[in-house]
Amino acid sequence: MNTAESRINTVGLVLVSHSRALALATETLIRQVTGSDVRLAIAAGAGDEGADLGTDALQILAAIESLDNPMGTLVLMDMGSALLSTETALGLLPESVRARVLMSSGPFVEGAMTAALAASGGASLAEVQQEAENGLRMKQQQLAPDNITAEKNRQIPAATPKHQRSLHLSDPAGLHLRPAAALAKLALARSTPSFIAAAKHPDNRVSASSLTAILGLDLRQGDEIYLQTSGPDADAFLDRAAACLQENQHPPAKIPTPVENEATKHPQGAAPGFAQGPLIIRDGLVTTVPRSYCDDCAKALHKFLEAIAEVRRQLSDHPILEAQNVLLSDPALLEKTTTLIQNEHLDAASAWAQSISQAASQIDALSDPILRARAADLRDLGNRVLQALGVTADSQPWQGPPAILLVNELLPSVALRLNPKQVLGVIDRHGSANSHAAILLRGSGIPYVINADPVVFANTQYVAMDGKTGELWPDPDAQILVTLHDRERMHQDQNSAGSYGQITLNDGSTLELWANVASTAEAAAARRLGATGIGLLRTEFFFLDQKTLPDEESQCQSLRQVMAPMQGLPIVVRALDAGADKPLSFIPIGTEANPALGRRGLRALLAYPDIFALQLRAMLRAGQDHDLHIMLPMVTNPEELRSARMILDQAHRELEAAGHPHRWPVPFGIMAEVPAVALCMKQFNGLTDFVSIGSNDLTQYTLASDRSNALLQTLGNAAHPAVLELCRKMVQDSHAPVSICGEAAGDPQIAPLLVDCGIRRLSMAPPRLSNMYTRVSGT
Amino acid sequence: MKYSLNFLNQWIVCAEQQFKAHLAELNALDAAIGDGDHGSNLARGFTKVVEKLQADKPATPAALLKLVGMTLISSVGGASGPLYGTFFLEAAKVAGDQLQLDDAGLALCLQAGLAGIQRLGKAEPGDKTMVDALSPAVSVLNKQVGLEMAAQKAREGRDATIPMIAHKGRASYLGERAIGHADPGATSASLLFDCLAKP
Repeated sequence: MNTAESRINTVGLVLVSHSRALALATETLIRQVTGSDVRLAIAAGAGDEGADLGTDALQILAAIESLDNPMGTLVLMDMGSALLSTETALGLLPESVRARVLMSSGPFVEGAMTAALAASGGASLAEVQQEAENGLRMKQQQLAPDNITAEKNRQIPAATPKHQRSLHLSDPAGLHLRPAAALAKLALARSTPSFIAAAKHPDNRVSASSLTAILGLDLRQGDEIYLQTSGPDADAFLDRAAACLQENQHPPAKIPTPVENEATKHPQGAAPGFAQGPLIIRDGLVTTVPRSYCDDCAKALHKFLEAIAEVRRQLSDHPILEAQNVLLSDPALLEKTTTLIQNEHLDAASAWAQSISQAASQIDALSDPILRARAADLRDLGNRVLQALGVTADSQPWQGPPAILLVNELLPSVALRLNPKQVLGVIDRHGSANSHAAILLRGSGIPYVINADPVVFANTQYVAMDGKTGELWPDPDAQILVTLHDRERMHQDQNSAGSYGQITLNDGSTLELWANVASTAEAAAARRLGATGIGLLRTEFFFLDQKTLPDEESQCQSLRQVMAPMQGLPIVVRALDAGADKPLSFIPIGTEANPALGRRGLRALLAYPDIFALQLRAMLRAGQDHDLHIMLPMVTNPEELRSARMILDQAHRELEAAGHPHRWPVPFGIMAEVPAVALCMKQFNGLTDFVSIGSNDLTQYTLASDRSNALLQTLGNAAHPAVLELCRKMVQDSHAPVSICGEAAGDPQIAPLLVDCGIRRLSMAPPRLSNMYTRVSGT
Repeated sequence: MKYSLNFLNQWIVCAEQQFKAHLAELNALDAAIGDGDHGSNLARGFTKVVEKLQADKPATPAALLKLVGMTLISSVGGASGPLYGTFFLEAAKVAGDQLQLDDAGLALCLQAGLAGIQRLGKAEPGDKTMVDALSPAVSVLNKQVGLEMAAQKAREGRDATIPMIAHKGRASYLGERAIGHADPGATSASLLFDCLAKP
């Protein structure tokens, strides 16, 4: 056995091979690329010192145990008894360890290489597993890009159909989803098999009952196609099939669909703004279901069939979802899933996710963009079934042309990566107006509607939305678009420019309005609107889409870009607030039962002092010509602040020694988010240069109510007397100025209560400045 | 009838001798449809097992079965290691802490062992595997008709694999070419039952 413990907090890899030489050579190959950054153990060969060819379950057991940590372990095997020995070893592991070990079906050498690259970058176990499974992709694409899908579809039982019909495809869209679905539906209704093939590839004949297989044929305008079948009703079937292909050639007339609201749930605006554009169904969920196995596979199969029945019921209420309903009856999908459950002993969700992702990637590989877009329908259906199986979703950011995304529970990590140039708006099936995702979208000006009924959008290509009112218009007509355009212009006029930075209150004191920003665009808006300063510059943005830690120079550059528009005004930069709902791959916190109460904010930074010091140096350098302030998130005790200050002083000394020009000294302050800080404010006097209340977390911790849980929103918000009392106490007890940078600061109904507590500095998303100014002036 | 520690010990020692005596035959059967090491692997594994039994002297049937299982999964090398290993490990789990097994107890152990093999190997009767010998033998044990009858059923099961097409393991790559040879796993399994009947 051979282990390298260089990075404890990464996924471990166990290489199981019949041949010790093969495993050692594979390790050498990997280490050439990843160096010592991957945690790897070998269990290979049988007999004394593994000299014989074979595998040894106890060796595998020891290898897994030597690497075990909360990130988990992926086992890559060569073949045959390697699988049996590994399964035996898993059976001998304690349940707690077994739960975080996955077996990879990826190729041994290529899979180990891609898995090692992902693991050394800090990827999660599910991601590493996915990488290993994709190990052959590059080779396949290079050698035979066209054969992959054809090969997969060719496994049709041999039959000698007596009847054949040829057809000419004249539709510019080729054989698109609707006619293909109609054909599959007809074919499914018969017991005799029927087949379809393109005249240009007669060998690649696929079952006409399988919608995924039909779409996989990539049939285009001008293609000649063959339909084949046998049986007494063959001619009648071919007539009907040909007719339905002809009838369905043109895209269906748009059905004017009013947005239907369920009684308990209706769309709500969560980030204001207007948008219109193509609708993209965006769910990354299918690829992230971790592989797990069924103990009681008969039960798993039953559960799967029940979920299918449930989704079929959901779909049957909506005739426009016919195509998805046909996909749901696709024998290729159903058989594949049941086989995976029965033979591979996968649990229902893993088996279904694997079937869907394979079918969808087959469609992804097609050349026709219209057909390719149908993979979204398949994934959407996949998610529907996964939801019925009780699996919750996440989603990936959009990289394509400008579009409106339909997502399922937008995660803040995804929200942060959304580029307003590509993402015109977001429609969420679930979501909460209080979520981080909503806050982030409000900040970046991307309209956001939550609680949308997904069903309405099934066949929608284009959508318009109002992120303030929550109104949605699937496939809007010209009239609606004109009306929206007017509304939009009014909205923009209100926000164009102004001087909303200071308000003189009736008592003669000055209320300052500051801005929360994360990007250059927001900082520019803050400047344009006259904000007194940046009360919160979020730095998570620089890290969230990175696999590895950005170096000092690139962090410094990113900060300079955001700060540039605010030259000459005070800027409060918050140190990295990782953990809880903003996980970062290179700060592996591990699985925590209660992330909101776990190692987040300053707690995580003090656990990774090198990363903290690196960021502080970048801040000091970037702030050289600015009125830089540095703020610490999630502080609990004065000791933490002392430790942080030592690291800051050290960062300054290092920069000085290296001769880097930088800002010094800088005001160093804390966020007050933990009730303990509010109650013991006096202990921080003399230690902190300023205090900024993070009202979102302070509220969540004070009211013991998860802010992302929509059902708890009635418990209260920052206007709760307990929260206000804490704010009042902090203003009284603190020697340093107290400001507030949470969502409450931008809420015109709550802000006056905060002013009443004695707070004279409110920091909010730039789009809120003008409204706040108007509402509070004269108070 | 009662099955003492001594009985079980003799069973394993007999198996070791049988596998060594049939080493070439098992290898030849395996070579026809696989990689030709089934006899060598089992002989090596059971030699290790007998060494361990003599050194550790387990005190209960459960401990003995467990020692056999753990040694096999670690020392056989091929697929038969985890399969036979699991057979003995699963049997150990239901053996309890009695000092000897009765007829019902032995039947229960071997049934659990067979279930373990099937779960791991995902093989059903008819797939041309050791299950074809083990399954009829274990099911007749439940009827209390004696160990010789079980051994007889195992031999019949082994012979029944001769015309089969393999569905599991490397032999399945060969398809119809595997027809005409007994499955080596079914053959070794029937040897194991021969020893159980006459240890």
